[in-house]
Amino acid sequence: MPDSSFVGSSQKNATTKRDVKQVPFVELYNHRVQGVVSSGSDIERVYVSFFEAGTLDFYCSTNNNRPCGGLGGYPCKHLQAVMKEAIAAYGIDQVINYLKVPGDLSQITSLNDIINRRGTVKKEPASEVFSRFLNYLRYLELQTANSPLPEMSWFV
Amino acid sequence: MAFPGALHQISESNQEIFELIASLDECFITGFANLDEQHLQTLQALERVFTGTPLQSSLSESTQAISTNEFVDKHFAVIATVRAAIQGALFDTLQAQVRSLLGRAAIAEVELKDEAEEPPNNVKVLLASVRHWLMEIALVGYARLDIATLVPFLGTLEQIQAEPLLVRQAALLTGYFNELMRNLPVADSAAIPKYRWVDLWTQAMLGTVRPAILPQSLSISGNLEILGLDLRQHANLVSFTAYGLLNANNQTQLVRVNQSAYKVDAINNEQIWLLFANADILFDAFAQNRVLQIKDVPLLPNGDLLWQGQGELGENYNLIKRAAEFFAENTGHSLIYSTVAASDRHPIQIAEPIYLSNYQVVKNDENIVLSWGDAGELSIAKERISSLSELNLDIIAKSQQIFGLLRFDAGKWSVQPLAVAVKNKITSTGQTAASVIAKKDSIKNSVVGILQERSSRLLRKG
Repeated sequence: MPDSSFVGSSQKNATTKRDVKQVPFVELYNHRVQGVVSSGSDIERVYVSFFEAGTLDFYCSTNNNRPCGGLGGYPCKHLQAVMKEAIAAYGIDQVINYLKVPGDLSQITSLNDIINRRGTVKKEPASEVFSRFLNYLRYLELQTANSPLPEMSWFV
Repeated sequence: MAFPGALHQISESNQEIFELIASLDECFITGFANLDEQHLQTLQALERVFTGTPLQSSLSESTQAISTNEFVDKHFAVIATVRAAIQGALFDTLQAQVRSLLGRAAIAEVELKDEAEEPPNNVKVLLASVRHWLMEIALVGYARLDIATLVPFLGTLEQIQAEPLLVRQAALLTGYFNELMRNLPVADSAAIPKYRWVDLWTQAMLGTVRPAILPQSLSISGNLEILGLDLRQHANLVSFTAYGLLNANNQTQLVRVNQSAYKVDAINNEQIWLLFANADILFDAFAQNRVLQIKDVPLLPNGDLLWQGQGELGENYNLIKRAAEFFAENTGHSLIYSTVAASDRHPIQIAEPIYLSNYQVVKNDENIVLSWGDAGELSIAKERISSLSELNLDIIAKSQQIFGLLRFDAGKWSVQPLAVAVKNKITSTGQTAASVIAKKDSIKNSVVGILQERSSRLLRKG
């Protein structure tokens, strides 16, 4: 039997509603779960947070590279919000898989189970994640056309 | 009744073609830099298949070069062309088969006149970068490919997205890039969706050799009756093709209206329609089943209208009745069909409009099948029904009439419903679009609105 042009959609049921107001951006990219959290007090400010795959090391800072005040040895509320939204966007299985969370997978079923297996603070500049976010926003400003796109037949 | 029972026999020659494609695709798993004796035999078998065709000499030159580790991107463009030519031949035989079973005449080839203009130089440079990147993927092979090979392409991709002439390449490459980034490196090479991934590679490569400028169009005015919308999307782009009957110059023809919009993955519910606010008149016409009167709209030779959002609402039409008139089996009504350009032909592009009735619905595992007893049966192409569609299997299971597209995938024919009638109530993809757009107040608190606010505040300061 010839192969299908489509891949099975086993993860369709995994996603739930995203809170874009608090976390406008979250992604699994380049060995990280990373995202941007809008500041509750200053509309000009955002926090940039990530967890690294494998180690689960983490960091959170403002878009101007100031370390987040809430960051002790424990993931701050921004990091927790990013993780929560990653689970909403991708489903917990894909997040666990992508982060290569260590330990018995059957015991990891919630946000807290992942946070409890965290690594340590790893200070890295926010610029890379922030520019991914700006690039993400850019999609809403790009022009498209009214011409045919037969290639989209591969994407449902 | 020949249809649909006779549809499901796949000819032996088509079966052999599928096997040939599958063995060619193995080269893309292993990587062209690591081919073994069996892969080389596959390339030689391809050469024999293309003997006597216009591709004979370039294919023979390319396989010779690749066999001796001489890696130049033009050789990979030839491999892509050859694979696409096989898919094109499959498209032709499958389409001829289904049309003859439905009592429809063969579709005449249309002539495409290219515009005289040359594409600008930056377009040529970008396409050359794409070719080079695709060659690297082919050389490494999907089994060994790592995201480190992909990431540097992002800069090129952003430039392609910003170039309106390359919107087809941008749509495809963005989806392909995302899919590879999400799935690489692969843990198990046997689990690679190789047919799909080599298809995407092939389409991307063809996009670098095809003219970037659209063929010449004709200006047309008339009455358009939209019968259904096919909605497709990946994380960063959503696109629909509306199928409609255009009554113009005293004849009826099947036309397509295409609209697309870039998006982000967080826009994944009915808010998708907010991205198409410029098409509100078309959605209004469709939701109310009223004719859209269009004036001086460019029509491409294949039957695609380059519609800009203008039109006036006219009289009502009965969608299901019109579909039955033109698209039932052996209907007497003839019309001018839209076509697929030769370079785009692939079984995935078969979209033969069909009106179905008098069926029994049979539930079958996770899908449903329409049955006509001894006359045969047809599955629902549920893999083609967008998660954003108003249609779902429950509604389809209750239906008595369907207007949809006959589709071919994985060696099987099936039907993708676009509009279904449960008693007299019609449900169709896109029918709620007009009401979503009309609730303009909701935009501010929508994902689109929130991100546009973030964008206006942060983007130009970055």
